[in-house]
Amino acid sequence: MCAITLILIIIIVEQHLINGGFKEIVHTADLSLKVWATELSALFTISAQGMFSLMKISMCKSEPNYIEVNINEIDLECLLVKFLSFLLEEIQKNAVVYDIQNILFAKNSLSATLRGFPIILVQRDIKAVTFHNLEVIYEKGTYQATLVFDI
Amino acid sequence: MLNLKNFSRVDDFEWIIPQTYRADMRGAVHIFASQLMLERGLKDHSFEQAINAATLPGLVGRVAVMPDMHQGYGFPIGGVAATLLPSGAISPGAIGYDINCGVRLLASVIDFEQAKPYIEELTNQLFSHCPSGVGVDGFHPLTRKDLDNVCHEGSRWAQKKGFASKADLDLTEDNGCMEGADTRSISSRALERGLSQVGSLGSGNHFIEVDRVEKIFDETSAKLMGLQENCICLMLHSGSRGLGHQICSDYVHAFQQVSQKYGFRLPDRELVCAPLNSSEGQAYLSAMRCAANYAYCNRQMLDFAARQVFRSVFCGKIKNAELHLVYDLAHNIGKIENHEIGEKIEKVFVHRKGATRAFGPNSEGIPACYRETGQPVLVPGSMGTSSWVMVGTTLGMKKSFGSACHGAGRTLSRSQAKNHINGGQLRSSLMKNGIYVKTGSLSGLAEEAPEAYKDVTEVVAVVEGAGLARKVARLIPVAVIKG
Repeated sequence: MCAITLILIIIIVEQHLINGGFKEIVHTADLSLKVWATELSALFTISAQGMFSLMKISMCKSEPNYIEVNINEIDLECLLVKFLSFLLEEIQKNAVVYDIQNILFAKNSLSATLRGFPIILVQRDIKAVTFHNLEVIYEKGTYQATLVFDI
Repeated sequence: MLNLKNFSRVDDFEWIIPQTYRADMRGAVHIFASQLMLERGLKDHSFEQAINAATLPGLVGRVAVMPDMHQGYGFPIGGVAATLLPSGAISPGAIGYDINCGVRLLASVIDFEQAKPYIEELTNQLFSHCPSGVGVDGFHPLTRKDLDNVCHEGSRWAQKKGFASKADLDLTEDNGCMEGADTRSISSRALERGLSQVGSLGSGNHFIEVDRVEKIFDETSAKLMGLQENCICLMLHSGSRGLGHQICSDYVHAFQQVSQKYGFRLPDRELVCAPLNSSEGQAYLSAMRCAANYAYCNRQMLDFAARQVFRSVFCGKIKNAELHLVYDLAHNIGKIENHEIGEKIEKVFVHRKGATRAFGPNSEGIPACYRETGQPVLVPGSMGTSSWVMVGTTLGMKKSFGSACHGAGRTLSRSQAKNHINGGQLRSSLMKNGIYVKTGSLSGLAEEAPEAYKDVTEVVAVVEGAGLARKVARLIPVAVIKG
């Protein structure tokens, strides 16, 4: 059995905001996040944390489960959508939320080490990560992307 | 930046963005709206998205935009676009993630005044027996073989298992089954998600509503539908759940490469597409039909549960407590249909995203009993206002590929709604107005508050004014069940 302590994902988010951040953008029907970071790895990490924050996930702090993930795609945008979709699938399928420990990039591929915790409650469903107007931009030392989630 | 000067006015209910507005458009955009709605529409990205939809390869005729339009992703909600067969585009993003999200209406001869003392119990029982909420499973888990059958047969599977009657199938769009579905086009993940969710409502804007028929505008059509003033009816809104979402996600992702392969240049990556007659296009089409069949079956199963609740609550209290199906329709779907393009009848693939098929009298594919009046068009409102029953028209066949609105349409984002509205206070306020509310999430309730939506009466007035559909009846909610 896991420990009783509940930790809101927002706590993890704050730990990583040093390298960038996320902000919810107004969207009439769905949910949108603007994400920025000085490193590509931080952009991916913060995108995941932003998504978890929108879902209002409560997790159980127990012995974590570590996994490795490798993804190959045709470009950075596909890589970002695939990575977030994998995390979403883990929430829906296995009720596990992952804290991103490390991500390494090679050309249009990534290898990530993830630390998983069991989920107690998901307050808001996200159905899918969309490609709507998605573009990973690098400008003046900062990576940026705007994500739209279907709910 | 788009402004009012870019629209030409046809009449009080129709506006055009000409094909010349942007070089990559393949047709004009026709917006069905009042001037006020048009001005409000400029505040989000609905029209830019409709212009982008007009760039779909193989587009024919016009892009039609319904008055409940609002910004979506890639394609606007309330958008209709058709492409010419055999090689016109099929775009998963132009159909949406909740494939065959739709509405079902059941009517009764139960007088509201007689039912009134039992509405609270009815609400609680419906909440208990029709599973709802984030990630909640349905009441009838499927074996892998049954899931295959549901995807291939839709509501026919439910009929074989005793959850549906022939009359139910007759009164469901496509008779509850789109031919040509093939589970070999679906990922194992999509199938896995489908195993447990048939017979569940979901969350977000999905709901079950008990309504009172408050006013009838068209006696003939209402009689055919079995709608009687002051009697109660039940409306439910749900779709293909995780299975449909996964299929859309899988194909939008896969089509990122497919679009490049066919040399399609699109203004938004969410609109990626394939020629309908390509192997990729055919694969998505058969996968989409699986999800459509799953959704028809899902709503049929919820209908079965709701009828049992009605029997159980009213047993010994009201003589005839049976519900009968008025109609079940899809509002996120792609279909091969015949339409008049110029002076010719052409076979086209119609994408409807947040738009209801609204076929007029004597159209192919509508139930025999509605052949003379046109098919029923179900327009749910926001939970504190009203919902509408309309019928399709002959004029709508020409103006909008036989399509009409699918609801009221959002005006506030979910965050804005929650900033303005408290879920607990909203529930109390609805209760004071005689609307029982049962929800698993008060914050979810706040997101769906009536204030977050357009005035459905204005939307319906535009639809009727533009000649896309005619009013039949106005329904007033007396109970709302939300996930």
